[in-house]
Amino acid sequence: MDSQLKKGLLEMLVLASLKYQDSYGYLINREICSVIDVSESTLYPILRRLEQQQLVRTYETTYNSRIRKYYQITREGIQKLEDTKSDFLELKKVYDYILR
Amino acid sequence: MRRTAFLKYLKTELDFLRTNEKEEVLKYYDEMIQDAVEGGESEEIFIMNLGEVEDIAKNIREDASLRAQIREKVHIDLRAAFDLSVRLIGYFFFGVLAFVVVTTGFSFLVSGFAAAVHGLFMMATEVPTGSLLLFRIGEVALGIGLVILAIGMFQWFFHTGRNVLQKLLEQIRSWIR
Repeated sequence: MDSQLKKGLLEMLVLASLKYQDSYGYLINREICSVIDVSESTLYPILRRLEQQQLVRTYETTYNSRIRKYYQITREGIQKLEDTKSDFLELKKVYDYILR
Repeated sequence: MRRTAFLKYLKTELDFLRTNEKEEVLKYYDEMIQDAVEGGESEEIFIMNLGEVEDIAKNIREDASLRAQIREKVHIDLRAAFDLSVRLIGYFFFGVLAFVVVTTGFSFLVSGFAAAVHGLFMMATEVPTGSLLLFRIGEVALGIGLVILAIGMFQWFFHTGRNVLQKLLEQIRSWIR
């Protein structure tokens, strides 16, 4: 798959994985790996970018005597996800036509 | 490779990052490895699957440089927007000033010319003496003075006003920056 397309899709996958509950790096990666093949090191820049775009925010909690960073989707993140969903519906028509 | 060795190696490869950013990356990988181990994965295999340390650092470097480019672009766009706004505000005030100077100067010119002509005309027709003569001379002098004032205003405005506007715009731009 084209790397730029993959990066864009990964951002949306991360947002989708955070839609219903906050999560942490390892778990997000495992969830995404069930959909698309991605290495753990690919995820870090994506999480950073989403944080900088304020589509996710982070907070830390103590877990097993160590700090664990959680990611939470923001209102802007939910909006972005919804916008992308409608874009995908349009794209689906194009894919269906190409793949017919 | 074990966790400690991996993090130490990664740290040396992230020298291009600021200290706080480097710490963020190391914390992320440290947490990821510990979560994987607690989830039942082998530490060494998990670290091996992370890929080459050089590649991880390269990915982060590319992303950091992209973010820097975006930041720079936003900065340039904002500066351009500020420049345009400052110029528009400056031109608006320049327009108002031009209107005031031109209308005031024009009224001075007309009324001064009228006063001077009227004074001369009355002196020629009435042949005044004493205080009336002084009054007519004063009227002519006032008229000539108003005309000179109007010419001076126009001259200042068209020769110096533009430079004053440029200096004002530069000053506002430097305050914004």
